[in-house]
Amino acid sequence: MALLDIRGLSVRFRTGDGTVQAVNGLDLTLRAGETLGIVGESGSGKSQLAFAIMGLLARNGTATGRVLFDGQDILNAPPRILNRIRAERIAMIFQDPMTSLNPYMRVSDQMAEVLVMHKGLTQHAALAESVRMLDAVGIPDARGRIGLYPHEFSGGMRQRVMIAMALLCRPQLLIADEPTTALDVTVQAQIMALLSDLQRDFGMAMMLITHDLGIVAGACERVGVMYGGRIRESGPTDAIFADPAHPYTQGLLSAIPRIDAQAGDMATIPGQPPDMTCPPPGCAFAPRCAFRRAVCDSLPPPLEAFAEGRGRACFASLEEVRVGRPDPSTPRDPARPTQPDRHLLNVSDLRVTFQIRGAGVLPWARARNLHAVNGVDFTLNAGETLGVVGESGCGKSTLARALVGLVPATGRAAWIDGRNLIGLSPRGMQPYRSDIQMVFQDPLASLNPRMTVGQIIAEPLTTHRPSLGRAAVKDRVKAMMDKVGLLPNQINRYPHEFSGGQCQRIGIARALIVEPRLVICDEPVSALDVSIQAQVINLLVRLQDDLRLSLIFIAHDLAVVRHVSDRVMVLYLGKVMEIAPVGDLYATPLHPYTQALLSAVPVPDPGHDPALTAVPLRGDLPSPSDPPSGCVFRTRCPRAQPRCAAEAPLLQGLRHRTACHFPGPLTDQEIARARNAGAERPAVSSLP
Amino acid sequence: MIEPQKMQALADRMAEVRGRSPWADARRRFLRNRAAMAGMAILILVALFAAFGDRIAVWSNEELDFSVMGQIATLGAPSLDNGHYFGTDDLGRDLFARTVQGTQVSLLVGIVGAGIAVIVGTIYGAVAGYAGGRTDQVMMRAVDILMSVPYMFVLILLLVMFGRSMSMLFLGIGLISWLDMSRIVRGQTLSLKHREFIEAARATGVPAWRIIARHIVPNLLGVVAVYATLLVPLMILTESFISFLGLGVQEPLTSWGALISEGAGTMGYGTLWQLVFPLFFFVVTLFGFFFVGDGLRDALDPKDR
Repeated sequence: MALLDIRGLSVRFRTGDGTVQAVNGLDLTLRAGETLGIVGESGSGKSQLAFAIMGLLARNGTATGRVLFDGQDILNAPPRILNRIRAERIAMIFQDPMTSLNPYMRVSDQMAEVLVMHKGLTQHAALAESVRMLDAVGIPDARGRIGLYPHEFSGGMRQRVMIAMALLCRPQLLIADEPTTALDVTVQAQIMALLSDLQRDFGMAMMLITHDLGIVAGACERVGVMYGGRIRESGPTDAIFADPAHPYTQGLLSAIPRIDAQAGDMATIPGQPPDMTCPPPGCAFAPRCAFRRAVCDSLPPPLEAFAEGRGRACFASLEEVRVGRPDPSTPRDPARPTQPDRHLLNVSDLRVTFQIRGAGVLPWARARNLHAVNGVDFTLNAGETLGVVGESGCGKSTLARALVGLVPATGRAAWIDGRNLIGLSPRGMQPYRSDIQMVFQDPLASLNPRMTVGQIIAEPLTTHRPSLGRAAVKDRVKAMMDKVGLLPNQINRYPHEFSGGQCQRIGIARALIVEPRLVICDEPVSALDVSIQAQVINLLVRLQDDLRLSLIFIAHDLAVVRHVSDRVMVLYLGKVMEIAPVGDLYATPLHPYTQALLSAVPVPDPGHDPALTAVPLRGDLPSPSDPPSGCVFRTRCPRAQPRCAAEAPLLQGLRHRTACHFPGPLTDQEIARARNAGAERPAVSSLP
Repeated sequence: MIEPQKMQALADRMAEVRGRSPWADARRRFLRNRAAMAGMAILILVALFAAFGDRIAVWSNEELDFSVMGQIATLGAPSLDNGHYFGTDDLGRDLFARTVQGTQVSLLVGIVGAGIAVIVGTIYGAVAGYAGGRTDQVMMRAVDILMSVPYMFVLILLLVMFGRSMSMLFLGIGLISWLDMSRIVRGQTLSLKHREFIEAARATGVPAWRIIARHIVPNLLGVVAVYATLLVPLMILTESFISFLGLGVQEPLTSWGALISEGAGTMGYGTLWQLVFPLFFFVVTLFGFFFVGDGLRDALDPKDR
């Protein structure tokens, strides 16, 4: 019998702008001990599905249908029953551990409370059990650290604490809602490995909700693909990845950039996700579907089984969909007009130092220095794309802000005319500002909500070309909107009337309107859904080719960076670890950190076993205000030697430069040794 | 050959679509809020009363009705026959006309006080917050120092030293009213300053004054509007208090505070109407402003609900 059996679940939210139909008649089953991945883009209703199961919907939400948990209908059950089930049999972990832990309570108190309440343990026994559980999730020195407050743990450790709390009562079902989205790749890899181990050891079922197909491929037995509040396709992971039977799944699979595939033009799903306040009466995917027919617009297709354990909701025949599967990629033109000898920007020894006040409130208390960017050297050729990757806190965004003069820096950043851009007065910088523009991470937050799109895009133009007349400005704005794929008649609309992808197009239009030579993109697609991300990347690449731009492309997603870059720079704690042409870097990374980063990226291929190739990194990123001596990476490096602590390595090499005393690919023995050394987690079988 | 479909598509592309501004959204939400609309209606009625009350009044506010003089408790009660709709005050002056005048003065004080706060406080706070660093420190310490002065004491001193007059009252209230506003605005500016759209403008080289004018102030106006509607009653209260002490507006001018003070003084002689009518307008107006302020907050920050 199924552990969880959901029949005809619908979730509605009443809002000021109408009723949002978040989930629409969803059917789903989950067997005991099984791992089910729920994949969907934002707005697909995947999180609301989880909240409905847990009875945690916001107050303006209502759920109808049936949710049978172990044969008992728990949907809209009274709080008394729900409270028991929630704590003891179903547990949930959330995206942001900081918001789900009480910041004013010690971890020990929060954990013990659960056990005292639900298991009737004494305080003493509860504490002992909590320590054992923290041990089980791999928190070093659990006994010593259980008395700490949540903010004293790092992001990855906090998520481990969350997991430990969720597992305290040995639930039969764990619902993980985007458990690693807020974490860096290397930490994400640790947490996913941990979740898989725990799930096996505890024999519980797991529902993993995520937008990342790569994670699903590595962790789940079965997958359900959600779109517009319904399951579009479900089945075993291998089968879905090998032979997607729904046009949306196909589109999604071809739209993700692959770190292991050849770079090329990315396949996209045209259009935008539906507005769930007034979803289409038929198939919600129909407006974006290549196999659309008349019936799709009037009737929602039912989820029908078509093979052993597989279901799909589509009117198009299976053969038709299989044959018409979109090609994943066409290679980007290799003969792009880069000018390797013309250095547009020559950066040397760039440093950004922030002063942070010490613990004292006294004004003369000594401030500590935080070296966000700590001596970075690189050159950027005309027409080239330089990818910048690294985990959060590595200084990549600060580097971008320093180059456009948003934060004070020291060092040299020589522009093509020889002028050092660092330390220029605002007046001196002004002529260069139209040459260097920036595209920001959060598409909506980077647009002033009180200005129309026309005013937003025109602002750089009116600043730098004040002689242009009003009509000329408007003409240019409209032409630019057309160029970035926005309808020029939308010029009077406001940012909140656009979707995330369109807002990013507005941001790109604003950057390009003054015809810059260099555009710095700070995580331009990380806030976007996969299908939209591909559209924006293609736009950037096309515009770069058309306008002969140079790009500095900052991202934490290594697959995206591989896709757009000519050369890639890897940063760690404000220092360059490696910089090389994209092919060399991804094929033969020389720095252990680069290798670890690359191996931690989830690959959307169930055949790829992360446990075999992953280079385990111990622990988390050290605090940038207190970096390790010598090589900053040595505390997490599997190859660290005494020399690494004493002497900081210099960036060496010609085309492929790396800063490591012992460069070169890690051998299998080294990886195996590191993995054994990193096994801080005792086997769960040793638990009572 | 002209294809009608293509022409239509072209026309669709050419015609500029009107946008739905955040202000229009807020207006829609505000209009749907019953309590706020009731508050708005009250305020409009009070404003109409202040503007056109004179036309209805039979007596002027300065005339003494000699027929009721000396027998206020018996003859001066509210009545439609002799034209004293709200009765008369202790000297036999028409209370209706006096209340109209008091309403005018009190509303004027409230609105001018809040107006000064909005203009000075917003500019001061936005400049301090945006400039940051030492400028911010100096500007905000100045505000702290002004705030630490017991303002009621200073206000009373001012009025005693320079004589009691409307302009002195405006000056006194104006001097203190912007302090809180500038603090609120500075706080909001600090959080806005690191939003990406401000960084985008800075990276483009938009001059600082234009960033403040185009990017910061319009995004502050929601908070400012809410606070201003709550500030008006505060100003009215302050003025009432001063007038209650007998230091506010001078005879023959009057205000709600002065009227309430007089009414309270004669409460024991059976002339309760002298207290009730001014007090009614006072209370109703304050309620109106508070409801409108609440409605504005809900309309402008729907997330905070």
